Formats: sequence, structure tokens, C-alpha cells
Amino acid sequence: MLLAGTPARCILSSDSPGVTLRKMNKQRRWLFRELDRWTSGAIVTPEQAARIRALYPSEEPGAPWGLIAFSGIGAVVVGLGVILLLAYNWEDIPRLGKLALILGATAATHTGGTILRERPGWPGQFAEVFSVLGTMFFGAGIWLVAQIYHIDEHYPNGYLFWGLGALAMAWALRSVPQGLIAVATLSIWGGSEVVGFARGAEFVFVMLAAGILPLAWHKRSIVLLGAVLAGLYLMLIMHAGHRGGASTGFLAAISLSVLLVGASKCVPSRGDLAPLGGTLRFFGTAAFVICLYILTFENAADDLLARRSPADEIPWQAASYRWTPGIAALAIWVWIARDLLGGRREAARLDEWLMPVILLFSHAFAAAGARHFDLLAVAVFNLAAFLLAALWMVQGCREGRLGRTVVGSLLLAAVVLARFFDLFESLAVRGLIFVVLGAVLLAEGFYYRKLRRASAGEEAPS
Amino acid sequence: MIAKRWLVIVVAVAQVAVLAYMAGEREWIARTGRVITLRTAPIDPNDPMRGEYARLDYDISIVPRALCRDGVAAWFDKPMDYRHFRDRIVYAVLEVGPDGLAGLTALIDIEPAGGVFLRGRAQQVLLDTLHVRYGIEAFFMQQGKARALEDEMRNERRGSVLNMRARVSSGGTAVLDDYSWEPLGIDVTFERAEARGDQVPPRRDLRALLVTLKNHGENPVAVVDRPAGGSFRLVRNLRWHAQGFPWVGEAGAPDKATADDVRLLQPGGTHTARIDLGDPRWFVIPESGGTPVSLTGLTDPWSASFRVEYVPPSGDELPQLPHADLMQRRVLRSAAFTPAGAID
Repeated sequence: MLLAGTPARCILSSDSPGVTLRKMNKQRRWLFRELDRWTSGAIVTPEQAARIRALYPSEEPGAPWGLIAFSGIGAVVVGLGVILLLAYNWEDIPRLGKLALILGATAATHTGGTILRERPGWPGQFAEVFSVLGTMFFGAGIWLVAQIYHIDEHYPNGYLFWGLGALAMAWALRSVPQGLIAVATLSIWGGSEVVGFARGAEFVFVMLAAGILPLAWHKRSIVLLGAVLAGLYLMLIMHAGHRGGASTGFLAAISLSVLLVGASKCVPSRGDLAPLGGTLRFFGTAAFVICLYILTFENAADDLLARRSPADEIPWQAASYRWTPGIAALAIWVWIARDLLGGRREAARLDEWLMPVILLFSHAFAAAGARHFDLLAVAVFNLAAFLLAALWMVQGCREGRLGRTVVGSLLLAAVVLARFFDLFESLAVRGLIFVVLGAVLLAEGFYYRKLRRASAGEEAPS
Repeated sequence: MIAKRWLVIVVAVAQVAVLAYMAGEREWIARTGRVITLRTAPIDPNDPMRGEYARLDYDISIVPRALCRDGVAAWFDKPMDYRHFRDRIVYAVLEVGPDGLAGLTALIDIEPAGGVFLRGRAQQVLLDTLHVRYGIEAFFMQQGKARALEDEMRNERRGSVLNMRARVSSGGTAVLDDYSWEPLGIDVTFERAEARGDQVPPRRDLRALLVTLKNHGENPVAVVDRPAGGSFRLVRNLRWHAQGFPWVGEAGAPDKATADDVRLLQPGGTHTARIDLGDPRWFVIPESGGTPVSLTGLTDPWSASFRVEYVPPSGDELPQLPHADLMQRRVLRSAAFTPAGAID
């Protein structure tokens, strides 16, 4: 019997609960359809079919996620709408009336959320929508009070208070939407301090990394984790660039990429933490590829790695941004290597090991003064990009991962196109390059199909 | 579960309490603070979160070096090293006149023990001035009203001074309350050389400054127009980021006004004074020093910017003058202009 004796949950145990449930439902539907067919074809008796069905009881109906998602987005949009509505600043409403309106709305929505949360029969997510609206009204209230009393002080503080309110509520409710509001507002706070006032707000790292990251981990939320990582990237680039110039910002970004890929290897690849590891790997890899692609351009490599200190640079601050992320990234890879040598870990793939190597080279290139070696450096970066693309194309074909194959092909095409414009002037050479690129992509397609067919042949029942 | 519920309630109450505190502090000042009036001029930006507002540019926002005391004065020694003073808290010590108008007497970095003062933050040192923000540079208005205010300033009330009424707490925090226009406005235009035939005169071929005082108010206002433009001063535009050209008459005092100099302006009435730019009394000293030159003789007329100030009669002069009770007693400052012939 195909599935007999195999506990249903074990088949999908490496996935998160949500993913498991979705896959289970899909497979149950398939199995039940097949059972009907087998019964009508007299392959199994109706009694046997019933016993098989009993092995896979239907799960409890889940929350209406679509409705909840739209309600959550709706709550945020309503909150933003209220902010814009209040921005009209009606003169006919007295200031105490405006204050009563916003204070009352904040209190009422939070109260509504608390009551709904405890009312039986209501999905908790509806209460969440009310609470999200409450926190949006809290933010609207900050700007309204500033408007009513003509307060024109340091405006990033408004986002800071809003973010702190959302962060506190996120932990009180263990709420992902509140966490998302906190990430957005705190990132705006940190960004506006750097862009608008040319000063760093390093505390934003503490709040994102220590305040929200643990919540994302606790809730196993890849959405919140993704938002925090995006916020951290943005803040790191802005702050490092502000403290130590473009070169420092770029090195910090590439270091964080390599650090995240390394960290993803320390997350269990099975169980409910696996999707979080995947998110870390996705962000790290995507950012690394972008950084590497930028470095394949000669001018960019020169501008981004050659050190040009801002006039008002404070050396220890610049140095900490320049070196700390890189040292952390390399440390985690050294730790991985130690585990590998000790036989406590499966061998990492070559494309992943390319990342710390490129990071090391970037730092060495930048520390060496860069300009005298820029052609050499650009050649190395181009070679690395080609190598990474080729590895992903081959790995994707062999492992049957279409996504990896496509990303590798796109990277290859992007690098070839870039060199097409800035390296070769001869139309003949340019034409030849395109022919070669096209041929490689065609060959890759055939290779992928051949391996898939071979794989399907091996899996087919004899 | 109960603990979680109480935690949620505590956070929700904290959010409302933050809003209530923010509003309550300002409401308290708005009800109990000392009333002062600050002279300003509006421009009208827009904030997506708070709506439309008039951006206010106070006279006390640009503080001359001479009024900076203690630690603040030391910031002028290293003006480029802004990390040492940017966003530092400063206190503008104010002297409030009988009409409520506040004038700056000193800028210090230690909170005064008493008196009326505003708490602000240092922004930048430009030449011999320190720019300060007091957190009251925006006056939020219903959509459309801020632009209307600016239009009024540029057209019907051109040259008028906008006064902001504010309430100040004992700690120097101010809350804007309302605004009003001063009745008398000052406007400046150029008298240019005559065109010869079809030839258009060069833009900078200026002959004289025509300074017009207009009564925008509902009651008559008296002014004095001393001979040869003696009721006016040429002052450097402090918002101009280049070194100025000092006026030769900077150190002198205006002649004593006589009864013949008094002009009574009925509501809507105007009086225009002519300042002959060829008159050596209106020359300026070039940056390199040496012989004073006419504004029209500057080699780079775009490198300087000036304003004309109306100088009212002093308290000693007033008793001898007719219409003393209607006399304009405040200095008026015109829009900025360049010797190249451009007016703000």
C-alpha cells in the first residue's frame, strides 16, 4: 500500500505548521479522490477505503487568513487615512474636540481589541485588527498634537515615540502586525536622523535586533523577520555611510550579507525554524549578489571600496562600522569551518564559501588603498560573479531546483550584458558574446531537461 | 492569560497617556504661559503628516555674534566644527516691551534663573551670526489658509510685519497662539535709468531706491521722513550667506526729526522716500576695504544682499513731534534686494 503504515505528519515534518497543514490538506484531497477511484475500480473495498480515510482526519478549520490579511492592511490604511484627514486641519473643530477625537479613538480601538480577544467564538486575528488600528491612531495622535500646538521640534522623535508604542504593544500581544509597524516607524526614525539631521541613531539597531528580532523568532514569522532584516540593512548602510563614507557603508552591507548566509547555516534545516533560516539565507544571498554585481563595474569598485573619509569623521565610529560586521561575518564562517573539520556538519556548498572569500578580498582590496589594483580587483569580482552564476546553474540542474537555475542564468546574463556595454566596442565581439551566452542558456535548458527526465526515470515504479 | 491582558491594557493606557501628556503640557502653557509677541515672516510649506503650515522666520532666529554670551560666544571660534554646538540647547533671554513685543537681549547656554526666555537649539554658525530654532517655526493651518497668508503678505500687505502671539512657560517652552499684522508696511523698488530709444537699460543700471511706507491698518499712522532718506538705514541681509559690504553710515545716528518731517498716513495711504544711490552717504565699503563705492559700482553685484530699515523717532524726539500718539515706534525692515536689481 502506497501510504500505509506511514504516519502522515512524519512525511512533512520538516515544514512549519502552516506549511504542513496546507500540504496535508492538499494531499488528503488527492488521496480521497484516488480512494474513490480505487473503490469504483474494485482495487480496494469500501471498508478499506473508510479505514484509510480514518487515518487522515480533517484538521480544524483554520483562521480566514485572506480576510485577516486584508483586514490588517485595511486597518493600517484606515490609520494612514485618518492621519491625512486630520492633516486637513479643520478650523471649525476646536482643539479640545480634536484631542478628544484622537484620544477617544485610540482608547476605543484598544478597548475593542481587548474585549474581542476575550470573546469566545471570535478569531483572535479580528481583535488584532482593532489593536493595529489603535496603534495607528496613536501615531496619528502624535502628529495631531504637534499640529494643534504648532510644535515644530525635532520631527524624528514623533516616529520614535510611535515606534516605541508599537514595539511595546507587539510584545504585549506577541503580534506580528504590531511588530511590522514598529519596524517601519523605527526605521523611518533612524533614517530621518541620518538623512535629515546628519547624525546617527545607533539605538535603532538595538531596538530592531534586540526588540523585534526575538519576536520574529518567537512567532516563527518569516514576514516579520524579513521586515527586520530589510530595516537592519537599510539602517546599517545609512549609518555606516554617514559615519565612515560610502566605502564603509558598502563594506558593512556586504559583510552583513555574508554574516546572514553564515547564520542561516546555524539554523536547523528541519522543523519550524527552517523557514527562518531560509529567510536569512534569502536576504543574505540577494544582498550579496547585488553587492557583487555592483563591484563588477570598475568605477563602482573604485568608488565604493576606495576609502574617502567624511570631513567630520570620528575615527573610532568609522572603524567600528568598517570592521565589526566583517569580523562577525568571518568569525561565523570560521566557526562553520571548524565544525566541518570536526565532522559535526555537512559540507557547505562551494557557492556559499565564495561569499566569505569575496568579503575577505573586498576588505583586503579596500585596506590596500585600492586604486593601484582596481583592474585586478574588478577582474576578480567579475570572475567571482561568473563562477557564482555557473555554480547555481549547474547545481540547479542537478538538484532539480528551477529557481536556482533561473537566478544563476539571470546573474550570468546581467554580467555579460554589463560587460557588453563597458568592455567591448567591436560589434563582432559583442555579437559573438551574445551567441555564446545564448548557446550556454540553451545548453543549460537541455541539460536541465535531460537530468529531470533521468531523475523521473529513476523514480518511476519498475 | 490574565497577565497578558493586563500587559495589553497597560501598554494601551501608556499610548493614550503619552498623547495626553504631550497635549496636556502644551495646553497648560497655552492657558497659563506669559504672553509675548514675536516678529516674523511666513512662507508656506506642506507636511504630509501634519498638513499645511506657515513656516515662520523670526527676527530672533538669527542671532548676531554680539548678543551671544558665555559658551555660545565660543562657538564662533570654530564655526565649521558644528558637532560641538549643533542641536545644543540655548536660551534666548527676552525683554518684553509694554506692547508685549519681545526683543532678544542675549543668547546663553545656561538656563536663566528667572525672567522671560525661550528655549531653543543651535543650528549653525554663518559668518557672524548663529541660527537658532525654537520649535515654534511652524504655524499649522487649515488647507489653503497658509498659502492665503503668504499671498496676503506678498500682495495686499506687502512689507507688513507678521506678529506671532505665543505663550511661554517658565522653562522657556513656547506655544503659538495667534497672529496679527502690524499696520505699517515697507516696500522697496528701484528707480532705473531711462531707456534710450528702443534700447532697454541694463538690469543693474539703478539710480535710486524708492522706499514706500503704506498704512494697511484701519487707523491713521504717523511716520517721519528726515531729509535725504535720513529715516532709513542700509543693513546687510543676515540670511545671505556671503560677507556683506558695510554701509558707510552704519555707525552714525540719524538726524533729529523735526515737525516738518512728520507724515500722517491715513488708512490705505502711502508715502515714498527716494534714496539716491549716487549720494556718497549711501555708499558701501568693499570687502577688500578702501574707498567706499556706490551699490551700482560693485564689481560683483550678485555677491551682496541688503535691506532698508525704517528708523522711527526716539523716545526723546517724540514729545516735540506732532501726532506723537499715532507715531510708528518700531523698526521696519524691507524685503532683501541685491545691487544687481533683484528684490525678494
